[in-house]
Amino acid sequence: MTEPELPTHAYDADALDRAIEQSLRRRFPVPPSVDTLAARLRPRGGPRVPWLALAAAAAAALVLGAAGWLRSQRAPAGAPLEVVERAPSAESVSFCRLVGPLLEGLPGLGAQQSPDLARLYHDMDACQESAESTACGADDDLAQRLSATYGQPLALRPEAAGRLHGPFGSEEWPTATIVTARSDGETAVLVADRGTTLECCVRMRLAEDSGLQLFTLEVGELFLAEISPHPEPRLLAYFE
Amino acid sequence: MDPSGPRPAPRPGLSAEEFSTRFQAGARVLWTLAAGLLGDPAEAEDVCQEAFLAAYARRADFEPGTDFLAWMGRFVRNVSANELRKRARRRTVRTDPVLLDQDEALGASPEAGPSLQQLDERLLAGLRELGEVPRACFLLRTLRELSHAEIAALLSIPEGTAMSHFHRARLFLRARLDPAFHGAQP
Repeated sequence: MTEPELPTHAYDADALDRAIEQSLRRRFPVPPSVDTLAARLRPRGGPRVPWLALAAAAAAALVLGAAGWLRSQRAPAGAPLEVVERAPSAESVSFCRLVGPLLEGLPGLGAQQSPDLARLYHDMDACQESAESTACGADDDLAQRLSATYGQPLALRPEAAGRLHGPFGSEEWPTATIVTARSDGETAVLVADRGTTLECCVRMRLAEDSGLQLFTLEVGELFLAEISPHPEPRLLAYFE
Repeated sequence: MDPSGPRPAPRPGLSAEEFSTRFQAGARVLWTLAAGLLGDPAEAEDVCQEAFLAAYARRADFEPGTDFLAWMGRFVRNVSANELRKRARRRTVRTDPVLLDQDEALGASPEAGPSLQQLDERLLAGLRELGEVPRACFLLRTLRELSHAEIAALLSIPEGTAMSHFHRARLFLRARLDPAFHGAQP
C-alpha cells in the first residue's frame, strides 16, 4: 500500500468519515442468513451417518468407473489428438458448427467482434439440443483441444466427464470455442478465447432484460466466459 | 452404578448447545472479520460456515473461561487464508452487464462530481489496496464498533497494532475518497 501524505489543510474529516461509514454499510451488508447460521449448521441428534463422505465416495466411484470406461474406448495416451468432424444431426440448425472455433488464430488487423451474448446463448442452447456432441469433456480431450488452439495449458476436473457438449463454433464470436452443459434443467454456455483477443477485438454485449448472467475467469492467457441463467457460475469450476 | 464411586472428570470444552449459542451471538462479528480479510462480502458467509463446522468438531478443545470469539477468530482466519490462497490461483469475477454499460458512464463526465456509486467504487478500490489485517481492523471498528482490544483478540495481534492499523487505514481511505486531498498529493 502506498502511504498518502497526511493532510495539512483543514477539511471536513467528520463528514468524510460518515461518508466512508455509509459506503461501507452499503457495500458490506450482513446477509440475514448469517443470523441463523448456527441453527442451520448445527448437526442434529441421533447417530451420525457420514452422508457427505458416503456421497463423495459414491460419486468418486462413478466418476472413476466412467473415466476408466471412456479411457478404454480412446486412443492410447500420447497419440496425437484426433480431430473428429462430427456432423450435426439432421434436425441441426445452420448456426451450429462442430468443431469450434470457426476462425483460427488472431482476428485480422482492426477486426472487431461484437458478440450478442444472449443470441449466442440461445443459439448454443439449440445446438446442444440438436447436435450429437456429448463426448466432449469426457476425459481431458477438451482441455487438450483448448490448449492446442489457444496455447494455454489447462486441466479439466474429472467431474466434467460426460457433462459437456461441443466444442461448438459460432459466427457470433468466430475466434471462440464454445461448450455447453445442462445444470438444474437450464443450459449454461462456456466461451473460451485468448485474453489478448478479448482485449483488442471483442466487445461483449448482453441486454439487461436477457435474464442471463455473465461470469468470467482468466486462466493464464486463456479467457473463459460463462453465460448462464443461474446466479452463480456452474461450468467455470471445471477448469483449472 | 455405585453413587459413591469415582465420578468422571467433567468434559472440557463446550456442549453443542453452548457452542451454537456463542457462535450465533458473535456471527456478525465473525462474518465481518471474514469479509475484511477477504475484502469481499460475497464469500464471507461461506467462510463462516466452514469455520463453524471446523470449530464445532473441535469444540471440546475450547478452554472454558477464555474468549470464545478470539478462539473462533483463529478458525475464520485459517479458512480465509485458504480461500485467499485458492483465489491467488484462480480469479473469478461476476461481470454484470449493467455494470458493463456503467463503466462508460463513469468516465463520461468527471465534472459532475462523484455519485454514491463512484464513492463506493473508490472506497472498494481503496480497501483492495489495504492489507488484509488493516482492512479487517477497519471494518470491525467501523461496522461492528468493536474496541481495539476486541479486534486485537480476534486477530491475535497487539492492541496497539490494531489501533495503528485502524488509524492508518482511515487516513488512507480519507485520502482516496476526498478529491481535494487527493489532488494535493504529489
